[in-house]
Amino acid sequence: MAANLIHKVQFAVTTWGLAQALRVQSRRFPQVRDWLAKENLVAQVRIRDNSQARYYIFQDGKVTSRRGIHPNADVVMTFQDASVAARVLRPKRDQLEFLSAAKTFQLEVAGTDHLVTWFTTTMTLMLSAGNEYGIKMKDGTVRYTNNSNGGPVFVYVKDGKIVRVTPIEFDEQDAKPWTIKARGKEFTPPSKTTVSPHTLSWKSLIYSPDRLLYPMKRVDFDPNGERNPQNRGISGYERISWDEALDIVAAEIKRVKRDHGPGAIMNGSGSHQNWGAIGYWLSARIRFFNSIGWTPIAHNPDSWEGWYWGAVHHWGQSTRLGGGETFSTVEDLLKNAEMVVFWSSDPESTSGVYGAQEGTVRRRWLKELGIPMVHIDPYFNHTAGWLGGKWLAPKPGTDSAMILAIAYVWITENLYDKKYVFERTSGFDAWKAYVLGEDDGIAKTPEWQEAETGVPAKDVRALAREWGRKKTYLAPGGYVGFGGACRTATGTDWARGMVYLMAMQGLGKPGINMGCLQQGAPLDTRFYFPGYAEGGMSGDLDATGLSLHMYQRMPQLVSMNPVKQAIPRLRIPEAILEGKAEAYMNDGKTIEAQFGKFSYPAPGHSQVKMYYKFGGSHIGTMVDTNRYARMYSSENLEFVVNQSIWFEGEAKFADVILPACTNFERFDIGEFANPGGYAEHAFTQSNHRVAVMQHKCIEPLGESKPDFQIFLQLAERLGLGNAFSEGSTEIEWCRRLFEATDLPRVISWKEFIRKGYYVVPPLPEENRDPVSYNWFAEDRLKDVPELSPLPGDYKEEWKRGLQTQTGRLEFESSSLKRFDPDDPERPPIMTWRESWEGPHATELFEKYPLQLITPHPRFSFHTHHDGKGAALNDVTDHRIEIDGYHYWIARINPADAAERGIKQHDVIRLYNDRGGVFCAAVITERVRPGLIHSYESSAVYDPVGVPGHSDDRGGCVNILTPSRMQIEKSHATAANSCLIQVEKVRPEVLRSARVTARQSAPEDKTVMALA
Amino acid sequence: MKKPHLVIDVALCQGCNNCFLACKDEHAGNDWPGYAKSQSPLGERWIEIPYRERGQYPLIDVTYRPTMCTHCADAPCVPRSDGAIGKRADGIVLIDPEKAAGREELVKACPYGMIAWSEESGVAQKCTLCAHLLDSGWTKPRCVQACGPGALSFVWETDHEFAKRAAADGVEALHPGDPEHTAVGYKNLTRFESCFIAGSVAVEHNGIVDCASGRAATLKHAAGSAADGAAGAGEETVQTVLTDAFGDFKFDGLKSGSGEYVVEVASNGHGPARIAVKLGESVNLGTIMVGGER
Repeated sequence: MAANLIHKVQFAVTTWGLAQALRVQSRRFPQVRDWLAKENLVAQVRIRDNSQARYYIFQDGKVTSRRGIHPNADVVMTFQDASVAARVLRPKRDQLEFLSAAKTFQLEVAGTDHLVTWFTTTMTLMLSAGNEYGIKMKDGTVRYTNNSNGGPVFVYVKDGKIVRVTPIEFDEQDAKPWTIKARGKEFTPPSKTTVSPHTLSWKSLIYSPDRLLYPMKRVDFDPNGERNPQNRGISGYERISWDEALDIVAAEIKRVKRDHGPGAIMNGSGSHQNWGAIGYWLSARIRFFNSIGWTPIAHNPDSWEGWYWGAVHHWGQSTRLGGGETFSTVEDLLKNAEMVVFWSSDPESTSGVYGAQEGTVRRRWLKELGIPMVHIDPYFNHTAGWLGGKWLAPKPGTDSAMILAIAYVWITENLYDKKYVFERTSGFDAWKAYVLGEDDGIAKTPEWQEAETGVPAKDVRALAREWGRKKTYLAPGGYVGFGGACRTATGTDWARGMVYLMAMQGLGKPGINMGCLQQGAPLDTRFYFPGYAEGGMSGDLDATGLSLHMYQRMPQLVSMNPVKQAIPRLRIPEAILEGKAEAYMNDGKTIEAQFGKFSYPAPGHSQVKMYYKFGGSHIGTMVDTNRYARMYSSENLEFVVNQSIWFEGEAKFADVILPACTNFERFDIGEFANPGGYAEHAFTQSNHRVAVMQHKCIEPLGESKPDFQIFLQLAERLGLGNAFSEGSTEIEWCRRLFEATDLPRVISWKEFIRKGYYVVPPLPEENRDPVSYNWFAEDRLKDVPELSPLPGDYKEEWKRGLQTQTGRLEFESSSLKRFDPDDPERPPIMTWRESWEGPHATELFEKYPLQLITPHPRFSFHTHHDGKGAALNDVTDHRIEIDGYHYWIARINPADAAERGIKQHDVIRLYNDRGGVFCAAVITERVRPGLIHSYESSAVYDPVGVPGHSDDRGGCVNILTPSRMQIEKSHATAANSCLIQVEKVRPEVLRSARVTARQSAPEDKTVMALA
Repeated sequence: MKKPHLVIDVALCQGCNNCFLACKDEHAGNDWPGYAKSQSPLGERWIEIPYRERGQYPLIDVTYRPTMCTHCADAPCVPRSDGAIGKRADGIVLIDPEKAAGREELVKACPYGMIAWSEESGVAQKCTLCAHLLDSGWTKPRCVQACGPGALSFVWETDHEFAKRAAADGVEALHPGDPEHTAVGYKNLTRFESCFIAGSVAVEHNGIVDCASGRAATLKHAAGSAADGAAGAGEETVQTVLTDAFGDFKFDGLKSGSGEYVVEVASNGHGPARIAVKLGESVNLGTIMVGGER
């Protein structure tokens, strides 16, 4: 039989079978029944020349079909010929065939966009229909699984309500954990996952009184009349319907593009969201905005800063934004290290990132083995408090002076690895001359550093001697490549210096490496499961890891942004208010990518007229953040829409608010602590690799919707619905991602979504990954399993040496010499520079004599989980309730408190020229004199007067931090170089402050007042 | 019978509040008939985590002590409750939520402040040790399940077994009564309760000050001190420790306000450095200069 005849028969059978199958499925599964009942329409499937055709009548949930052409079909699906149809219309369709046919116009679908999307979705509905999920428990609850920024969880649900959220305890079928043998002991982690404190507050957050349950419009915003931008953040809101809200937003998208041209729509999100690869900001959001054309807000690498703008020039690691490799370092440290130096490192508070309390048990082993520890941090952090050891507290921004003094002791007392420095590094002599003062006449002695750091010379000399004699692990940041010290005016110097010190001691030799047991657990790093930064369903090959890590595994439509304009996140207010902004690129593909400067507006592009904000975080997370509040009152922003789960922060400045639901109210999929992309293999923070099906545990609260659905419904209003969803529902997208992973080889989709998780077995001991940099120390080809640097970025042969031009650890940076050897802020060798905001800023320091540091918070995950009437309000180390108001905490040394008449739990005002913030005083010896410690990321912005021009009672201490770039040629915050003064707030001031009853979303009210 | 015991190791607690938050997650918004009613979403605390900071910058340490109803051996709340509170055979002390409804005065039945008033449910209530879960087959309460640092552990043991464990591991009851008859016991309580005297020892050589490591530092009761009850006796050595790599020493396990001490640090070739200390709370003596090589 000729092939075309076979295809004709296949077409006839398949198109006939579709209606039959839908009828069967509809009888069996309520979700199919409900879906079919949503629309009445006629859908036509045909060959272009009408040689074959069948149409379907969907009427009140019933499906009938007939051969032939219907004269008035609502949706018409046209195939080039029967063979294309045969390839695409298989019961389990091959997505690549489907996309290929669509992109070559061998397959076309016409009709009302919403109905087109509905019909294409109907065709794949059967793939996921009927799958049961969740485990029924004896007590009548159903146990679902989900995931969070602080670990995967079981979610127990009864009668449509969440009863509890717990860590996951593995069962007998799950893979057994690994064991490390070290110093005569055996160490095995428990067979369960851990959670961060914020994860345990999820239930309270889902049912928060501040949940946005309905779409809302600012009462004095009229898209067809007065818009009153000056009242953003002041006026209240009224409830509107989804149709009205989406119609306004869709009409504004069309209007600004029509009236102003490309670039008029700006969008940005927080850096973290509800966990999951499909609904994530790097996934569904990018796909939507690429499809309408947008000016993205370019993120600065804000947890990395000094590493990206500094360290990368000395050891490469650009794909990790300057952070380091950590393969198998847990085992190496436990076996071989004789000391651990934590420098600006508090993993017990920050959990690395996403790491729950997985590293905690490993650090407990460190304690059990009696390995000495040193903690360098202006604050006696929780890692120091829990593990013990020597605490050295340099003034913020002076760490580089201490680094230089340590090197001075090593050089003058022969306490460094000269052979390694000779064979594996370059440019040492230039730096050595600087350290010894041969060029500037200043020997960088421990005594010299004492004047800058405030740390006694004797202590630094003792540290240098211990370090020089012992095999030492250096933990810079709670995750190699973070740390509050990298977010100071001298952050690049600190991060560079961290690499230098390891280069002097022999990075990669047994027991000499980086980390604090937070990363580098002996897991199977070769099992493929993408992190969220791989881009999920984004289709974006430029701005996500899709091109490097996933495209060949998960066919999907590529999405490209036609707008070649971006706005640096730290300069959004200037872009809006002054109409211009510039910064340097954050792009980890190569070392040199960061030398590219970008300017707003881009040539020939429109200025931003519409701000589509995803979430409400910036006032609590960026710097000098009164700017962000002031920006909103500008007429330059013709329209502001905010898609948010809670009524918080910037959401209160929108003209229209679209209520999104949490990931507990929709389907998604993701792995424990696996961001992928710029944090490759971050899942080695966990003791177990856990792939999680994120069940829809409950229905979305109120009228809130999954982000995916909001974008889809907007896309349908723009004729883009089918292109956005590809005819896949959210669970179908999850299945497609599942198929892209290595999971189908070890567990069926059916079993995976039923049970909800899979524990990837660790490799046998003899198959574990080699230790990071051991290959480098021994000058072997790179043997750790990672793709970076790019093959073309190796200098001589693939896998030989580092990414730097010399392939060595460079004391004198080749890339900086090429770019700008005379840059006083970033010379090719790391030197001592005074912080531009610090004790040397004499005039300012006289006025504002206290140094404020704002580290990543301990209990909330940035603004996530803070405020909102949720459980963390009750954690007395997070907020303190005074007269019925939960104040953010500022920690102050007893001497500084006494000088100002401040007592424990007084309400105090932190202030400088940028603004003022009310906090609760906690008096503690944990902060060195002259220092104020207050975490960044209050979610509550509660100005006592005009937003952007008055003190904040919510605790956004970021209002006080400088917006100056860390170094000019960067896009980097120096939030931890901040001078302030502190005063006790008099009771009458508190009384006269505008008392905002905690603003809650209306459950049955229709108007929300801001004041 | 095997009874449930929660053991809290104060030395392992880092104050992460996971226990407190798990307790809220389990009890706020959920009624557990026969055990407790819904906890208020905010303000009703069944677990407190008092915090202790010892010493002065830069020689300090910090300790957290998760504290809830200990289900006392001879629970003083029971006789004061008019039948609303009882101790079960397995040792768990429960407040009957029906009988305690509207009875705010029951908050005072606990001398240790561990009974809370629920604004949400209008009932006096407290930690149930998650008895509703234990009775339905859970092996441990939520706070223990959520504890990452391993400070909270849970065992099911007979009185005899637990008495042996308590003796071997130094498990104490927080309040009067045998640990084996108290459902919540503590290890390393001294970390929370005692004081220290600490300091740093340094030497000067050619104008350079260095940490003096490996020096013997000795703590003595001052002569005639009332601290040891032996008035007029000579100085008596309490502890001797060696300074660490940074010249630091720490005499731990002292009682606050326990009187006058002398700290002596060996000084090569010279008489020892002597510092008199009248101990109130923990004290960092700062840097003590001694003679000789480092």
